Amino acid sequence: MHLDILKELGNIGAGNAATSLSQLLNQRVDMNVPDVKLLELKDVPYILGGADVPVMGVTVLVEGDVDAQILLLFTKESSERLIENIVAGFSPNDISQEIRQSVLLEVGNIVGTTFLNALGSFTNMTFIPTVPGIADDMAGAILDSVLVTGADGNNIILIVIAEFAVKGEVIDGYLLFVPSPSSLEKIFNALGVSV
Amino acid sequence: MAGEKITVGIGEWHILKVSGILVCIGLGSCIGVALYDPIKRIGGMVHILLPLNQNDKDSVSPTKFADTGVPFLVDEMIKVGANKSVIVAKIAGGSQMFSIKGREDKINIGARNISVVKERLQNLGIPILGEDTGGSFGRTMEFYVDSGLVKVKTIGRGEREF
Repeated sequence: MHLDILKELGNIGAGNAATSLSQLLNQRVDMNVPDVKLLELKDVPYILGGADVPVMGVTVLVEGDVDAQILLLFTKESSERLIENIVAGFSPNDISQEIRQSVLLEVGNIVGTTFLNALGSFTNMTFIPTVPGIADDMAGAILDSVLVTGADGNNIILIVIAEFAVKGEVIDGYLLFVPSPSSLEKIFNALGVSV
Repeated sequence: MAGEKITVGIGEWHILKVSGILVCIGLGSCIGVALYDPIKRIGGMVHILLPLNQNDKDSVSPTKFADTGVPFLVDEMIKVGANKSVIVAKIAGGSQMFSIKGREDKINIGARNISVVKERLQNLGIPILGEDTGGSFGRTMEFYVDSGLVKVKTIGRGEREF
């Protein structure tokens, strides 16, 4: 039951994020949410293919009425394809590693804050995102560095499977919403579902 | 030769005797602690997530935390025959994977993990023979129980042995 609500929330957030991304890139970006899962933090590396798989992750901390964190994760291969699509038209030699990271940082920022806005209007709660941070490393290393108070690997997180479509090419990403245990309860209460 | 390879997941621990490889995959702010009795060739590894166990001690796994995890592993090794006075340690991990302006205090879990692990080892009189800690990158730590050798692998930052 509450997965349906969360999936709806994910879809609304994704729709809004796609609109913001389209405006930024001046080209059509679609975002679809085929699936939403609730998982324990420690089990997340398995959906990415293992704890040593190279991924790129952008994070924002969420403050205000909750203590939470948003992580947008792409496998290394997907992140490269997404960046290539976004910077298409530039010669690869002109695109430094720094620019690649900053492109992804901006994508993470937009997707993360748009999702938060959707969640905020659903729950009537206030969420304030920090500036984003980026990491380019092993999935396990990025996920064990989750910064939410009370996070202990067993806490439940919401994973929105996000398919980005840029120029018809589908690129898989994962949007993770990681609330502290007490924040998860607050949000579920606000949504009128039981934990 | 090296024998079986056992992955020690977050908050888990494992002990092997004489042969085999204990592995912590993808350490970020987490710390892998390898303890070794070189005489009996008993090796134990714990994959620590957080510095301090602030919960009811019985309700959670002690090996998730640096303060309770290190003494726990020593006790378990003694139970299977290790001699505490010869146990030595090698540690890896404790990175800060993200850097977020204005939230430095909140995100230095790795540094706190390192300091609590070192303090507990010192209290127990266990010397640290090698370490690869800190920085802002992930590590996979392999502990070869036949020799006590530790290999640390990274993405794009090479491999270290100690």
